[in-house]
Amino acid sequence: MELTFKDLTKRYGRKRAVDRLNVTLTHGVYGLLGPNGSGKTTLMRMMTGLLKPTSGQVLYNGQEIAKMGDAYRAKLGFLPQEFGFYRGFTGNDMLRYIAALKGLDEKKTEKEVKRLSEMVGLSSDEMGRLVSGYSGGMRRRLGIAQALMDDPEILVLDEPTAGLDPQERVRFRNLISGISSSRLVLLSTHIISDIEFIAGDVIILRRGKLLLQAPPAEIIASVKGKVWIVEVRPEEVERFQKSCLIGNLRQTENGVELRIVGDEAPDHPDTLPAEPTLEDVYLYYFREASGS
Amino acid sequence: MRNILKFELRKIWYRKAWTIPALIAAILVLWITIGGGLDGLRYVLSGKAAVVRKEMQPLWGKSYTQEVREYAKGRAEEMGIVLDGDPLMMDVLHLIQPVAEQYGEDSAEYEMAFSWLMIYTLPSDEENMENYETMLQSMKEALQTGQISRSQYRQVLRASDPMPYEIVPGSTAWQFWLDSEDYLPLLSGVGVLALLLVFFSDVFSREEGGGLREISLSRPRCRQWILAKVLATAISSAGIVLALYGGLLLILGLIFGFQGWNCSPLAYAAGGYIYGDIGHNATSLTLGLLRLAVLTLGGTALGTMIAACSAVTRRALPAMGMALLIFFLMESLLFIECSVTNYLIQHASPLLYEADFQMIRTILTTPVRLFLNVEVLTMGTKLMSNYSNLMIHNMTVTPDLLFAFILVTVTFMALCIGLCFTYRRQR
Repeated sequence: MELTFKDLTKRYGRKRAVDRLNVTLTHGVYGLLGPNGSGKTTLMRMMTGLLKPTSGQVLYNGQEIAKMGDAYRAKLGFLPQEFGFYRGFTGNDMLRYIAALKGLDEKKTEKEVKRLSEMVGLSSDEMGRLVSGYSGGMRRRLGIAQALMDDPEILVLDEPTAGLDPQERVRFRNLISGISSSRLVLLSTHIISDIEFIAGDVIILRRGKLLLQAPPAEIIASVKGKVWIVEVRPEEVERFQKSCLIGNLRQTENGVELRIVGDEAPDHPDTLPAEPTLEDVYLYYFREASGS
Repeated sequence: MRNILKFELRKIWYRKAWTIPALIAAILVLWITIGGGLDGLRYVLSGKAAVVRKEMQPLWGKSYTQEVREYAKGRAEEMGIVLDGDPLMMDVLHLIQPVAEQYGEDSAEYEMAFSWLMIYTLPSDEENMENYETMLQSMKEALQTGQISRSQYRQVLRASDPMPYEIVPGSTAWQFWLDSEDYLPLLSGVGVLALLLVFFSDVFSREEGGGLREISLSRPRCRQWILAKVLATAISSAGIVLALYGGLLLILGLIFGFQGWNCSPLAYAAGGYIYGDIGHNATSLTLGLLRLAVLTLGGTALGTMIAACSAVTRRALPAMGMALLIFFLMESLLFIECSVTNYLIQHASPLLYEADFQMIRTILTTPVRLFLNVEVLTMGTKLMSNYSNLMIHNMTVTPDLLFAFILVTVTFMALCIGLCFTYRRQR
């Protein structure tokens, strides 16, 4: 299974939301990273057939998805960033509704509802309750369940862990890892750790263009030697804030420990090199977006 | 499809918004039953209803019934029952009979009003009485010369016959309120319209930003989804209208009696003037149910139209605005239609009133009538009735006219349904 973006472009007036993107995706989890406005959502909407590209193509196994039509849509599962639920609907109702929209018959619907609720860890009691009473994590899990309805080959998840506590996020990561072996999963998120632990490949977009595509380890290695730790006096912090990109600031017994990302080492005798993380990568490549 | 429809219906009906109209209704019922918000004696009008006009303009800001009651209150001590002993009024009444015959009217009871009500803006009764008597005197002189045109005749009619009424102290607040023809169609129309707007203006717009549009529905499934929403809207709006007007029918019947469904307020509330029975009683159960059916069809069309606005605008408030704009455009059309036809009838040959020309009048006013089943649900009900009186009086319901109603309403609905399908997945 292969999904290819070939010179994919989407323009809104003069602005190019996605600009001549060339990427090929196969099985596994792909993390999509980029600041707001980098084109992530636009890319996902083109990938799901919701938006027509201005130019270029999205190809599934060499076939244009626009021409495949419903045959391609049958292979997709999508969890959008904003997924609302309806008052008066229980968890079961919600999944049954989605199943009806996907054209599943009643027998298959009941099977899928049972299978998916077990897969996402929602008990039958919880599924029988109104969704309005669900926690954020439960709603997200229900959202993932609807995206997995009818076993799609391609799963697109837009900010799926936003608002979840760490425990829920771990549960989610494990769930995605478990289902990704036979699927293509594209995961767009601002939460770096979600990608760092489970993505096989990371795709970084900047202003609609592809900046990097590589496994997390390679991407992290691209900023090796550009991350430092230095402990300074409190009155020095302001000076470093003005001159450097500070990834983290932590109070210590002796002062303030700064984690600095940049091409040059900070001007301080106690500066030590640090092992970079994916978050450092993000800060390094999008430092103008962070205001430094 | 059945399952999708089931869920779409649930989305409409399972809403906390129902508590608002239920609360308003409960407060209204309590208020009318316990206190009525009124004090003093209440008066019940018997006999035929009246249309009060001044130079073809309806009275604004004050209901004519309220005027009558104030007049009755003021005169009650002097006379008890109105004007039987008023010699000037009786003179005018007698003089008007031959004029009425000349213009083909059965009697001067065709349209009645108190002339002084037309000029009633002054606080003192004495002053009003003086003006009233002056006007009646001048009318009497005009009638005596015999030189009176049709429009002058109309003015005299409006200035002549008294409204027969009866002072019945202690009538219930329900009787009083329901007997106030001014309020009933207006409030019921406003209430139904408001309900339909609240419940259907977000049929499509609630899906925006909710993510459901983003789920990759196949084309046939997307069409089914839209169709299910339209059907759910149509079923629900029909249910609302049927429940409200059917309920109103029941209340009226319980209060005023079900004598072959003779409830004069029903004639207004259920759009009785469509069938030419202005101020007359509904004469049969069949006619009453027919009115209900027509209203339900109109309500369904209205709900579908609101859903179409929701599909086009994709936002609830703009959808409401668009729907209201369409209402007012329809009202304007009706206004123009009525005014033009009225002008033709007033100023053209009296032959237009002959039976042979009824078809011409029918054709001229059919576009008006075609939307009246929707019009009765709008705020313009009372407004339009003053004009539609002139053209619809003495017209009877015929099967072809009814068929025309249904045909145009269904066509209108089909257009609205087509608009709903513009709610596409892609932007």
